[in-house]
Amino acid sequence: MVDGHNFKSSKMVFLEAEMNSNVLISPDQLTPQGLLLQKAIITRLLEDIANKKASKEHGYFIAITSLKSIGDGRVRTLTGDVLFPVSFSCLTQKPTKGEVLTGTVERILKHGLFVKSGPIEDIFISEKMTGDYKYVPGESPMFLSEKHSKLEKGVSVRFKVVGFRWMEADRQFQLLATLAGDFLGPI
Amino acid sequence: MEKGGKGHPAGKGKTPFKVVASKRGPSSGREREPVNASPVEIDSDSDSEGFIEEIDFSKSNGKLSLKGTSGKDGKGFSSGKAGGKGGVYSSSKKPPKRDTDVKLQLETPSGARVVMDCEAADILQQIQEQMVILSEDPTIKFPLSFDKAYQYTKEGKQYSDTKSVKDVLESLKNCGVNDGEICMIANSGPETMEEVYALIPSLKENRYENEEPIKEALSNLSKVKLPK
Repeated sequence: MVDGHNFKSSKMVFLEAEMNSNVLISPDQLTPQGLLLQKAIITRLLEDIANKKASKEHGYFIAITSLKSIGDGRVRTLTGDVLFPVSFSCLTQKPTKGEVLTGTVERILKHGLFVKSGPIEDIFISEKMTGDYKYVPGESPMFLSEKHSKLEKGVSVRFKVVGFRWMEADRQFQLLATLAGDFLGPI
Repeated sequence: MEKGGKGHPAGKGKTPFKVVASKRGPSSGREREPVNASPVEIDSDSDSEGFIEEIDFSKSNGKLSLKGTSGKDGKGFSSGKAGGKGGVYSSSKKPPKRDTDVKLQLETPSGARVVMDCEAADILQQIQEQMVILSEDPTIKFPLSFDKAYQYTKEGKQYSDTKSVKDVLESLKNCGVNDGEICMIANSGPETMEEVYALIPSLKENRYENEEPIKEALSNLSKVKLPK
């Protein structure tokens, strides 16, 4: 059995992925000096990655670790913009099934509770997976266990990832988790 | 019609190809076939008919699964088989087990490698050091997750020396431990063998092979572990 003191909850697994992206540079950024062009491309790439936040395949983008190559630009005839294919490595974090994470309770509802953890804002623990904890309605609802341990907004909990899915519309992951298990629950 | 022509064995009756050829070349005295008729029609035998092999690339885990239409049913993505709870969210092919028994499943996309927390910590630390200079430029944007990840790896720092950790754990590959499992061992910093097998149940399958090497690795790791 795992000793409670030594049990460490890991966050999501880190990956380093090779990626390719097309960076669009507008004509006003194109100068005769090649050095400025490269900076414009890198800056644009950083911005694109920061805005994209995450992908289904790789998880959340953390940082670009290296630039592999910048290909020849292709002019988009209608707009005059130039498209540069860029190949790079990126450090990412991806949720893993079976993983144990720590998070903070965000919202209590009758059918379960919502938790936030790091970059993931959408983690749902169904009331069927709260172990001994039962829903207690009221002005500030909470989940209460027989031993009077509370689960309410702001409480830190350790949970296990049971499943997850990628939500294309919101560009983020939605996790399904459980508190029923050894060393899971409020910390 | 040519039966069992050049090179074709006089078969049991079925020939691999039935070559229906119109007369080619000069013919002595006989009428020539119209030129615009297709010279050769190959009629494939019923043996090869019907058996179409589809190759299905299952992207999420890089495995190759073959689907044959002649009877055998390949397994595609089964998202339906739920015990009720985790069905819709399941990303594996098998029906989900009891929720608390969910084992660690690391699926690495192609072109990516798993990075240990301590390795990531080093990478992020280097970037952070350059941040001071980089942040003077307002056009440079960093992902939101960067700060969170940086804080996490700094707080969770377990080892004094990443290279030693890598060296110690690389040797485990020789006894069948995969990259994902190595990463989990490094990240969770287990102190006993029981902890290892409890946290990473997939290692139990090869226990005979990996128990001794992992024990040795743990003791080597403890030499570079930082005091709590």
